[in-house]
Amino acid sequence: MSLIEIKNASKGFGLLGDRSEVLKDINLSVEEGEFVVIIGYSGSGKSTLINLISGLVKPDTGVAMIEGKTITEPGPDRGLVFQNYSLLPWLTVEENIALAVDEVFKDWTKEQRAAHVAKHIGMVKLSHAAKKLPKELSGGMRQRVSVARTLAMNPKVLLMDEPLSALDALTRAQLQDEIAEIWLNNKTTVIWITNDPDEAILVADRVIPLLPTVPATLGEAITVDIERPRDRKAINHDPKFKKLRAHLITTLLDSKGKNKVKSSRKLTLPDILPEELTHVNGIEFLTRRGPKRRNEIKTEEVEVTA
Amino acid sequence: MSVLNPKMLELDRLWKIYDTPKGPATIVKNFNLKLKEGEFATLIGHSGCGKSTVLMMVAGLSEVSQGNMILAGKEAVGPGPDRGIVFQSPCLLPWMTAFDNVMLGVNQVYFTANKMERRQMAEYYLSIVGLGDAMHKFPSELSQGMRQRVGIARAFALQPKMLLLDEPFGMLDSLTRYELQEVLLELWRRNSITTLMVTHDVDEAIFLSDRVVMMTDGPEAEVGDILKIPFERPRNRKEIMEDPRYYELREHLITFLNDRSHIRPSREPEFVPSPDMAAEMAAHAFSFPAAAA
Repeated sequence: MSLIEIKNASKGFGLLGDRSEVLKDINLSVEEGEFVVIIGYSGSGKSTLINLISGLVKPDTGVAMIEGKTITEPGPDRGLVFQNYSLLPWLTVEENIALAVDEVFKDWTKEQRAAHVAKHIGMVKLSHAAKKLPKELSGGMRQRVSVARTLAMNPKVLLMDEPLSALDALTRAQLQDEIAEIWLNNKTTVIWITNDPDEAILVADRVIPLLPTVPATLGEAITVDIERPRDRKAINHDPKFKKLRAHLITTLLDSKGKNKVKSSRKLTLPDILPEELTHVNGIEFLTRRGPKRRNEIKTEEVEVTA
Repeated sequence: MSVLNPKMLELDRLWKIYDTPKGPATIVKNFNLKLKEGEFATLIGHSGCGKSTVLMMVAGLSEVSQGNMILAGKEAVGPGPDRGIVFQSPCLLPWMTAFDNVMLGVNQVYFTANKMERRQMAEYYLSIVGLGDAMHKFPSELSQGMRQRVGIARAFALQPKMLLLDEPFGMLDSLTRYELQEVLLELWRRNSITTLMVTHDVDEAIFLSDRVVMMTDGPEAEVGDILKIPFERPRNRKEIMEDPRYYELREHLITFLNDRSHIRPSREPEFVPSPDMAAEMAAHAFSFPAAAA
């Protein structure tokens, strides 16, 4: 039995008449210990999809299940990491993580809980900053706290909703490597959402494109059979990586054009040339009538996508 | 069609030196580059290496400390509408619609044309970038990707002699970035304005440009290597990604950025220029100051 299973789920928002369908025919099953990445355009319904699993959104039709049980509400067995960190600003790193640990492991002793918090702070390499407030940390460090807090609940599955999108390229690369390493050590099931094809192939066992049809559907999964740990420099020279990357990017780009309503429009490119404004060229423009011309008027039909 | 100018832009021994309390700091050192009319060149390097400084000097927004900058046969001083710029953020005026933002520059440079022609100009370029139905919206009603489309249309509508792109897609997510690269190529296919672009995205550099100029790490950044991109135009991303040469070029650039960007031609006695770099050096007939001394 799969750990997470979504069957024929669909979801739309709004009332009759002003309703937009977001997801249709979603079928997904994720095995225990698997690292799955879902990739799609912004606004295509990726977050709605992950919220079906977290329990923040209920499907209109179909079911989402964890270990065979229907998901009806959020719970500590599914840990969520958001793009905007969502830390409590008045609590230190330690207190933010302790908040989750104290809630989930009520039957543990105080010492057990403290040790558990310290272990997870160490895991994300923030032991030196345990007493700091979120505002004293960089974006990358804040996101590490968020990851540590979520992992400290010992969730069955880690749901990451564009966890690194707000970070700069260097920090993002560093965190990708760190999260991949943590995953390699404890093998928690991960469902990760992104819009970056390189990130997807670097971290995932399986990449599933969410195609931007209206409503969106899941495309064919791509298995990434590149050995771990993956080195981000060496992987660029790997023929398997090149092939997967080209395949993934073309799948996503091809899917984009298909669903558009097109109309063509006749456009005129007027026959005028710019005047020299940087160099004083006397009264050149006064001695001729109208603008400089190249003596051809172009008209063309252009496809306009609505 | 007139004959293409073989020397649209000449950057000859360009230096950028800032005075600091600790003495002069050299940011860009002895930068040489020649662009043909209708050529698309890209500057690539790590962040902070000085590639934007070079671009801002060409734009006239940053003073040249030493060296010459010749645009279409004339010394270029200060900014002007003969050089269109697209910044990383679109820099639109928020109280004007997309159309009015484009018209702002159009009214300036085509002041001798009539109103209808000027309007057609803005409409034409906004439609080609895919804003045919959204040109009368305000920037706040547009997505980040659409705002950047307006920025690109605004630059092209002035028909500048040169187009300067400063990481134009840096703020966009990877999939939107691919779309906008296609938009840029589509415009460029109609009007091949000589272009100098700054980026740190290897794939973007290969897909868009004719020549990639790699810069060494700053400070004292200089040209570290030059690579010609041989793909035919119009380009198709799918075909390029299936071309074995694409991966050779990509590896060349990635290797430079990862392992070789600290090697300075002027300081390494055993520096061997690549064929493309040697061609550029011959065109300038320059030797590095260290070698000359």
